[in-house]
Amino acid sequence: MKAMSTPHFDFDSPQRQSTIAILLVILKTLKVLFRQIALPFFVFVVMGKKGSDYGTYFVVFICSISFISMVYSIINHFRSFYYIANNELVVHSGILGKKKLSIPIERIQTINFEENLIHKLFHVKRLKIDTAGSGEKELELAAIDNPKAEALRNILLGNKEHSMVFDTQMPKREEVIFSLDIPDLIKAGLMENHLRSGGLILVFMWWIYANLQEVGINAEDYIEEVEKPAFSINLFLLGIGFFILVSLIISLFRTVFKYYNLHLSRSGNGFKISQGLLNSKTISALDHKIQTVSWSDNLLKKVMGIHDLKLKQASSKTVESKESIIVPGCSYRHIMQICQYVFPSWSPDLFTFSKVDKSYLYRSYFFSLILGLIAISISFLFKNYTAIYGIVVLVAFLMVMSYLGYKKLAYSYNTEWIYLKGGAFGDKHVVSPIFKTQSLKISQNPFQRRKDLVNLTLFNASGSESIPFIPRETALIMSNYVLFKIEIDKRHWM
Amino acid sequence: MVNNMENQEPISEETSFYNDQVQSLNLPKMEEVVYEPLQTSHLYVNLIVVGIIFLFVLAGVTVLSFLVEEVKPYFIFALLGVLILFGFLTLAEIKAFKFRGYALRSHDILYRDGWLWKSWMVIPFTRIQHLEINQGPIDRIFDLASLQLFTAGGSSSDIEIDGLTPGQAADIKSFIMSKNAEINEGDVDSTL
Repeated sequence: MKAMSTPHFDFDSPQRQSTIAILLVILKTLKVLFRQIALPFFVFVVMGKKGSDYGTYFVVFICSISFISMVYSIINHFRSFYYIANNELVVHSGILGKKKLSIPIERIQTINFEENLIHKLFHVKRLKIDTAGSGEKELELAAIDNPKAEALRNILLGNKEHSMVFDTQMPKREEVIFSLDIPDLIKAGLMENHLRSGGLILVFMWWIYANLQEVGINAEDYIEEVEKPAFSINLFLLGIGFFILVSLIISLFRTVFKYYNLHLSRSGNGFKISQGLLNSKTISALDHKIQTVSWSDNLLKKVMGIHDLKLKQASSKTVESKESIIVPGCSYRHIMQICQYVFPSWSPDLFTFSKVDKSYLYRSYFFSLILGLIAISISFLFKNYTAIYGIVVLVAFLMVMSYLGYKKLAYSYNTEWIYLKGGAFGDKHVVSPIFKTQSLKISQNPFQRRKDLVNLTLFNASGSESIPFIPRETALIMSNYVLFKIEIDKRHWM
Repeated sequence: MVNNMENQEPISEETSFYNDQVQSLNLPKMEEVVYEPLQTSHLYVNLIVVGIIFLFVLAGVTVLSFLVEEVKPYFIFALLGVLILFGFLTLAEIKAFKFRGYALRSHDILYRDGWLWKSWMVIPFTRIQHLEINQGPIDRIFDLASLQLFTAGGSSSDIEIDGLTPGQAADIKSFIMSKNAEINEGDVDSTL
């Protein structure tokens, strides 16, 4: 994407959002309304069930609440404006209680732009701003005209050298360092974790089932009506095949919709990623806001040599993927290239890894077996002996996973970084600068006491990393070193 | 114990300017601090809370077994179960109180807690986002206060020290704030 030359906007004087915001409010209300009453409507009207008074009241109640909140939002739109004063982004809003939210520009953690279909149609963008820490302030402007949005972003991002004159005239130079074309995208989609997509289908079916029950339809009554086919191994395999196929298609669609036209570009001292087919969004991350870099693959991706890269930013909401830059389908070369930008002096050769204690593996075995035993006892209780085969397979699977997980789990640190490796069928790598650690925790459970093992958890502003089952002595040496590094380091962690 | 820091190779040229290597044996040791215990009235408050819950559960079990005929024969077992459970909770509370404590060093604060599941937390002063002193109605009766230390690492990385006197809480707070002001006096390089 080319950076367009941005006209000058005067953000010192109060600005109002684009009028499209009103349209968005109306649409949002309709959407919420639709979600709330679609199912009862379907049940009462389409299926010809007689609606009770109760149901009608419910619908009227929901509608009036939605209408009131819509009117409130629309009035609020005309009462709210934003401007920049004294290096703070200020937003005024509110009808009854006036609200003033001001965010110092240097405390802004992330500036994200999102567009859905409506935004695209009317050339506006939604702006989301997030800060980390004490105030836990977040700010969202539903619709800003495109050129204005771009200018605002440049001001907010450009203020990093603390006293700098805003120059919205100069476009930032952007260099695309990674992009996904359609074949890449399809490849990445096919290599997704299909179990997760399958799980989504199950959740979705359960959701429909639960909702039907809520409105008074017992799905089981209908199931009874369907003639039960004789159970056969063929039908079972067919079912599994169908399940896999649907999972595959769903994950393919999910990937394509989410990551369509993905561009990761480098501008100044930060990254910008834009992606998405219907809802496109842009996430910006400045290098110094990035707390951890991690990359992982699964069995399928490993064969193809692709990884998912994640750049985690400091965020006020704890550990949300929303604030992370996720780049699927990265090759190892790309990862190393991006790491060079974020952590210029980092290199994978600088580390010697240590393993965690073997009792970590034994504990996982122990829990898998306990789980299996409980499941088997339950199936005996219900005289369902065929289920036992499934349970045995599942326990074996869990144990294999534990073994692989233990084999791959390793940790290392040097004067500057903490580097963890993990994963079960795939691999996972996490790199984080020591000085960005916020706090640390050593914990010990009764099972670890005999061998004097502990878990060490290091918290940073984008989440936490744990090293389980290491000798207390080792954990203390590492903790003392990490604390020393944090306390002598004068650099800002964000 | 010799650790892997000592036999580490000097790392590449670019990183050498970070390379303020220190013999880890000479580093301040968090295991050597002496933890300060909390106010005994804090233990009493916790035990009273356990006691009140115990009374409610006891009343519930009793009422249930007198109302529902089928449950009556099991009353004695339920009573025994409740007694054992609350005995255990009381023991856990006492044991944990003995272990619970905080320690201040010149650059960080330490807090430990737990009995069967023990934990030690450390937050460097420079990583504290803000501090809060809270005093609930029960705290006020017993002249207690709690100090909450927030970091940017999310709620599980925060420390809450219950069972301080309001004076202690205020002292710790002002100590941390003065230390932070001291640390921040030096120029801060904001580039990575």
